[in-house]
Amino acid sequence: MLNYLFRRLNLLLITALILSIIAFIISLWSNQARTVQDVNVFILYLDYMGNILQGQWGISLINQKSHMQNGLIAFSSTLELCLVALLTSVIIGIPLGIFSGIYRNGILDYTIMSIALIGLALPAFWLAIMLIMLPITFDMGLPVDGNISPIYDIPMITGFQLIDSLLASDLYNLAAFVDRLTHLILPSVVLSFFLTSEIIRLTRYSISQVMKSNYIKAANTKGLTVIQIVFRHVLKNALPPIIPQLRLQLNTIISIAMTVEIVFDAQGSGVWLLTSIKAGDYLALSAAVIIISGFILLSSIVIDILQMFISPTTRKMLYADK
Amino acid sequence: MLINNEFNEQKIQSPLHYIWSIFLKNNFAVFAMWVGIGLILISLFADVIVLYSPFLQDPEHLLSAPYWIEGGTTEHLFGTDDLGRDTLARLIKGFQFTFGGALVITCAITFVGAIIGSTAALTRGLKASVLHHLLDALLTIPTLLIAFILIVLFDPSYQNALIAVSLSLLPQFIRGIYNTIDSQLNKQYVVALQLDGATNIRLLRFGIYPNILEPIVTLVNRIFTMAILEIATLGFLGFGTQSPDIELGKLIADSIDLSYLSPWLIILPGLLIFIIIMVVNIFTEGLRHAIIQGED
Amino acid sequence: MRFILIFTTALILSGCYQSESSLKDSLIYCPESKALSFNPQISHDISSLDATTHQLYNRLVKRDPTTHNYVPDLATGWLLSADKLSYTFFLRQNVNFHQTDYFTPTRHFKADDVIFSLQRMLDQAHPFHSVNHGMGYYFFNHPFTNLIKDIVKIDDYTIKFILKKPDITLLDNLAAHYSVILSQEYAQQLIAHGEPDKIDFYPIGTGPYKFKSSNDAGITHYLNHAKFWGDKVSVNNIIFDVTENNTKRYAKLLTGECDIIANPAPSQLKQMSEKANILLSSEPTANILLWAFNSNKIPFTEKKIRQAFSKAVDQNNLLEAVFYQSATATSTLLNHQSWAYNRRSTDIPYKPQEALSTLQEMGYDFNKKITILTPVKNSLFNHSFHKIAELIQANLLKIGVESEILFLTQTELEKRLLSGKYDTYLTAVNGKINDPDSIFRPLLSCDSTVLEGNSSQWCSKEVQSLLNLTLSESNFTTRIKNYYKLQEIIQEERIYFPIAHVLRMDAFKINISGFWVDPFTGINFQHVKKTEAH
Repeated sequence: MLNYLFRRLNLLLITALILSIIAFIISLWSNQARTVQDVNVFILYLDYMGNILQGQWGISLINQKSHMQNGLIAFSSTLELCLVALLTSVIIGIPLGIFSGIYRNGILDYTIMSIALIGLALPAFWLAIMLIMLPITFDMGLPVDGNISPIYDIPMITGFQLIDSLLASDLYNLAAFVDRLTHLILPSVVLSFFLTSEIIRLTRYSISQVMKSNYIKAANTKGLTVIQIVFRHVLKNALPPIIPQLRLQLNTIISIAMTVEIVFDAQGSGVWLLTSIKAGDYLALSAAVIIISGFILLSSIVIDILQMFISPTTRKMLYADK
Repeated sequence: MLINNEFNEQKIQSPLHYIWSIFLKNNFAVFAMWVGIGLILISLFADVIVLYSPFLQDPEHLLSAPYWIEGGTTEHLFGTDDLGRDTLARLIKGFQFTFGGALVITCAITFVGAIIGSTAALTRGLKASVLHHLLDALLTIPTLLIAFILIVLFDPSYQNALIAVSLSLLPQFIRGIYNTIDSQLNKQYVVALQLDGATNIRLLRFGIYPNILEPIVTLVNRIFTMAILEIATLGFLGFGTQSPDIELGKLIADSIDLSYLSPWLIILPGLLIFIIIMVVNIFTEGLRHAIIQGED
Repeated sequence: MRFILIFTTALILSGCYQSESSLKDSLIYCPESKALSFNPQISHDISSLDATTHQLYNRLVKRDPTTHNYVPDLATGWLLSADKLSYTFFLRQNVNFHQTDYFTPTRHFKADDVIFSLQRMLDQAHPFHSVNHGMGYYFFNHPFTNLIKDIVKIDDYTIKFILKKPDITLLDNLAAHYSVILSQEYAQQLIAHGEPDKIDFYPIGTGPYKFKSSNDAGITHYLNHAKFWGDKVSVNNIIFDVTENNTKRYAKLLTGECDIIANPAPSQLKQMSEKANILLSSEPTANILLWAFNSNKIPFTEKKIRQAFSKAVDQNNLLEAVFYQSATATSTLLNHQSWAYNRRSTDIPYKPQEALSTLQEMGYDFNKKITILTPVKNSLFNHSFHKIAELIQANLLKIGVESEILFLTQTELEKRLLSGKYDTYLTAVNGKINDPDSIFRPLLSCDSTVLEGNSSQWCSKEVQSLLNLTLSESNFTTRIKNYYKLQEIIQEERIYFPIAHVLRMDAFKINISGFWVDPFTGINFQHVKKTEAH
């Protein structure tokens, strides 16, 4: 067990090292004009890492704030979008995936899988544009631009605007919170298309694997109904393996979220990076690598460790592995 | 994972002909296959097929609608854009760039990824470990961010966009191949082959690859799907093809201003992307089914 | 489970979501681009003017929007001396400057502020003359500079302008956007703190609104200036929310995220005009979109070649394809509303055959590829350059002339223009004040450099003397006559192929009223009113 923990942490460190080198190379490249050729690259790297660890990530050319601050604010907004989309996708995707997995190769399965395929095949940016064009044809009051209406001046406390706007409820009652939420609806709908497809696919696969196993067959012979089997045996065996699978998709999800943000002009990582690049401020890219990749790395390790505690099978595998 | 626990003895070789005959029974998939072949032909001979040059301006017909809409002409089946350029011709030309690019990328990734992935799976020690960690690191960078970085390092152009997309998808493919091969390594038939003293190449050729056809098809399909989407996304963001060249994503970006007057200019390229992905997915889904059935 | 509960409640809440525009106290204006600074003295682009001139500042005089007469603003009246060489202005008393987080005024507006503000542009030794000087070549370079000999303070509320020679454009200049009055006290405070460059970014003025904040996402907040000397405003918060993409701007107008949007795309106008809850306002402007022939470079040194090229381009098709209804065709450089517009000038005919035969006659070399320079981005005509250049290219190809379009960024463009290595240049100019001279002089004068507008490198004695004569002429009829003559010369010489005057358009919700747009100085929200939506 400890051995496993140790190995995970080891992996974390090495991967983090590689990531920091990538970030370093970008930063080195972005101000190549200033670097002197003779200086040892290794020393430059140590220097860079020292700065990073002290929180000195350089100053943005756009607004004269620290890259770290800009990046964290932007990324928290992206994360907020991802979480809201994830929530809706889980609510829609898991039940559909379960049906699909249980009645595999039936009409229901085909219908659900077709829906999932459609969700995958629609390009996110195009879908977002379609949604922006909606108010032109229909009278729809859903906002299509930005994070929150400029009317509300929300003091930043956590960086997550949903929470911040709730905390600012003494200023605007719930109006600011509701406004933020409505601004999230369309972007998260777009993101949910992809995410729901993925969740349906993964759930279906996982459920159908479990349904094939011997203990389900045994349960069948015991005369349990399908519903009983699903709730007693299938779900608790089939759902946990979805999480690490979904984690592998995290970078794709964030990358789609960034595209969606750009189209909806929501002030998240996508817009931040795009404006930085257009302003020639390439240091933002290395800040983004540290923040976003760091987040993905950390969350995957946390998921791994959590899973070790939750799932007996992984634990067993660990002992066997040893 | 597809290996069924109940039956420990597996066919070492699955005759491709058998799979093919099963595939042919799936009308849907066969249809998708023919459409797919059609698409490939179109992308190869795009310049010959089009009635008009995609850059030719027709001042007589500015922003005309597709012919089935009121106000459209049969002269321009899918209408024209604001400079009177034929939408159909531009779609085909854009399609050539998007689809062709994705095809090239997928082939390259499959080839390179299979080599690196299999080598990594069969070697142990420091080299494999380095690769492993490098992949882990690369996999934590969102594809769009990788594309941004590469496009900033080199200038935005179609070629660089293709390189960026390949480099962002390659780690995924290598990791996929690596995992599938790795799960095969302790199968009895593989161990048996190893004990026979088979070389690594022989081991892969006869022991492993025939048994991982289905996951490979899934992987390739996924890479292709993501490649299409990412090329279009980069084009849309202005980091792909540069004017006057066209690409489906760029077509959409260029027509955004006209979305009220002529929404077709935005809807059609998006639908085309959608259709490409659907066709390819239906085809590979059919193939997968056939492989699974063939193996059973 | 709890999460799901919260989420569904939230969704239900959002059902009763009220669109933002129903907040009567705030008005959201969505322009196309960000203000470069908050001082119209140094930033002359229309976005900066919209964001500053009328909102933050006052001038000594202004133009009445309906009668076009000069009316008092911070001045209460003025006198012209008999020799026409000096103007005496009487200033308004008890005018307060803005009180903000960064400045608290201790005194009222007085003559020192006027002298401070205007001398900043005129006096090279002024402590603020070179502050923020890096903002572009047009910095303080306007007719004003050559006009005034001195500004003298008589007492706190009386000042006297002494002119170099009689010039009737003084009032025009004082009503122009760049003659806004800043606070001298604030400037002194900034110098004491060692941060003079803040003067243009944390503005203090006397206008109806004061600056609150501006962020890098392009959102600027203005607050009601409670101690404003004039009528109280009825909307307390004005918010500028920059939205570059015009599809997005239109969508935001419809969803209520914007109350007023600037520059709706020409392609949207038809649909907008059909919407019951959206109104359009359009104002003729003094800007002009033109295609300049480099008269210093063969073959465009020849008048006949220039004429032939302008006959080869279909002006009506350009207007139709690019501007739909948002521009008016033009044959001279002035727009039809101008008092100096020569009504007898004829349209430029589209005769490609004639053009072709002239070119053949003149022995034009058809193997030569001519260059068309265009800016990549221009704040005024953002969406059109690209298309116009391509349409011109197609037109030229019809008579067998091959051309190459060069889209250049501002810096590259300036380099290229200065080098003179170009055949033609597609550009736009904007009149700074309501006087024909402000259009003609930059384009035609020998003194005007290529960067100031003379992109055809034109210089002729006849035109130059006509320009100079007219400026000092005080007889109105003679001025008109001179300008008519000038337009005839332009018609004949075809130094420029004028394409269109683009209308300044704004679209707004039906519950908004009372704002007006001055094509020269920007939008004015002082009297804007917002009623309950629906």
